[in-house]
Amino acid sequence: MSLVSGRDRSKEAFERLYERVAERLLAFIVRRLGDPDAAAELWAECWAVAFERWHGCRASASGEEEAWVFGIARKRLAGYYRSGAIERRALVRLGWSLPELDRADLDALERLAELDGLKRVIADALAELPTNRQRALRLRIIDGLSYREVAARMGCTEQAARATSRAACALWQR
Amino acid sequence: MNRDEPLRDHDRLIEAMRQQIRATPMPPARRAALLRPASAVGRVRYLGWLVAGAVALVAAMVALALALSLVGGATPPPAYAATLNPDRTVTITLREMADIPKLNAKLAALGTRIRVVPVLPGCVALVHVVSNGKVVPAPAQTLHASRTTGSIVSMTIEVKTLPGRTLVIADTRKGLYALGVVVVGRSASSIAIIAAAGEARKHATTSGALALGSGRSSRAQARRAISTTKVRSSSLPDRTCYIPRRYRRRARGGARRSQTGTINRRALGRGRLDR
Repeated sequence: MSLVSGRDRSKEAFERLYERVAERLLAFIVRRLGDPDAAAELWAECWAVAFERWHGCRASASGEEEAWVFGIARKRLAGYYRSGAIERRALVRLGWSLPELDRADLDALERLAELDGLKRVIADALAELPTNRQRALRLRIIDGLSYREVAARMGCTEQAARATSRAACALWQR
Repeated sequence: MNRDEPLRDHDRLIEAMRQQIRATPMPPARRAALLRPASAVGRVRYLGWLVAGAVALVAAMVALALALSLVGGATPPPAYAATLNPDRTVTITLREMADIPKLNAKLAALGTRIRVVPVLPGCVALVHVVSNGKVVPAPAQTLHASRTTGSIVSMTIEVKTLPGRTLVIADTRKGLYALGVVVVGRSASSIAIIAAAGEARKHATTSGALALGSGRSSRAQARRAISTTKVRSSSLPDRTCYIPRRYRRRARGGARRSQTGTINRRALGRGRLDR
């Protein structure tokens, strides 16, 4: 396959793109969602959107085409983070569906994304934080509580809870 | 993907999607996509048209805004303002010398005894220094207006220190100063505002009024008489000097009287005096 595919917007070109990117995109989404089931659905929706918009793709090289698909995935992910729901509009429009995923499929997706190793790294990084910051981070990020609720659980003011959570995030990111 | 490898569990998902892609006809191109040219040259032209369209749109909006402002649709900033503050001070803003009569009418309506008079560069007037609200028993100082270009300022003045006297805020030969100066007299209080371009900023950094050059009034004392809180400069293309009637009575010197008359004629000729 040539590095430069030009602006071939045929179905064959899309299939080639799919062969190149499908697995990587799946791992990309699973790692960011941490939920293989939801990730599979979002991945499928991404491909449905890409399929519908393939004629509008302005990428001129194969790398750009891949970036274009990942861009679609990022937008879907952002929408998921914002709304907590996975859109299925494109899947519905195209009449596509996903196979039922059993336990083995989900385990395979976790292995693909190396989620075990990722979780270990995250747990280690969390363990390095001071206790109160760990707790604030768990309550705020993992449990998804509001600052008011975090403050009530930690027995401090809302402002202190906010500051602790933010400090923990900053420290953790480092 | 190497198809010779054994099918992994997650491949079932990928294979299912692959089959659906193969089985589905490619949707027709959308109109927006059809409009976009495929070649690099065409894309540049396309972008050029987009930019030209954007420029035309902006130009149309600017023209519309101008037209609206010409017919009075836009609200220009007020040329003058006088506000009586709760702490017995008055904030005066003046942008155009021609609005001095209106500003004085506003000041009168507010019940203050302050009046604004324009001062022409080169005018000389006798003024007295105020200290702690009282006239300092010292020889009168001379008000010099020597700037040729300048700005008008907005300032806050304590009203209670001006019973029946004239407060003068002026610049000196050394530069712009807001002066705690009272001119002894029976006429209504008046303020001469003189500001030099580039010095309004310096003025703004001083929280209170400065003393007259004689040094008899400290800055702190002068601050009690005049409180300058904000200064906003604006263009002042021309200034006129007006020396109140009592000055003229005091100014017995030939040169000074002559100067006063000249100044008055010029000022009156422009219709910029309030009396």
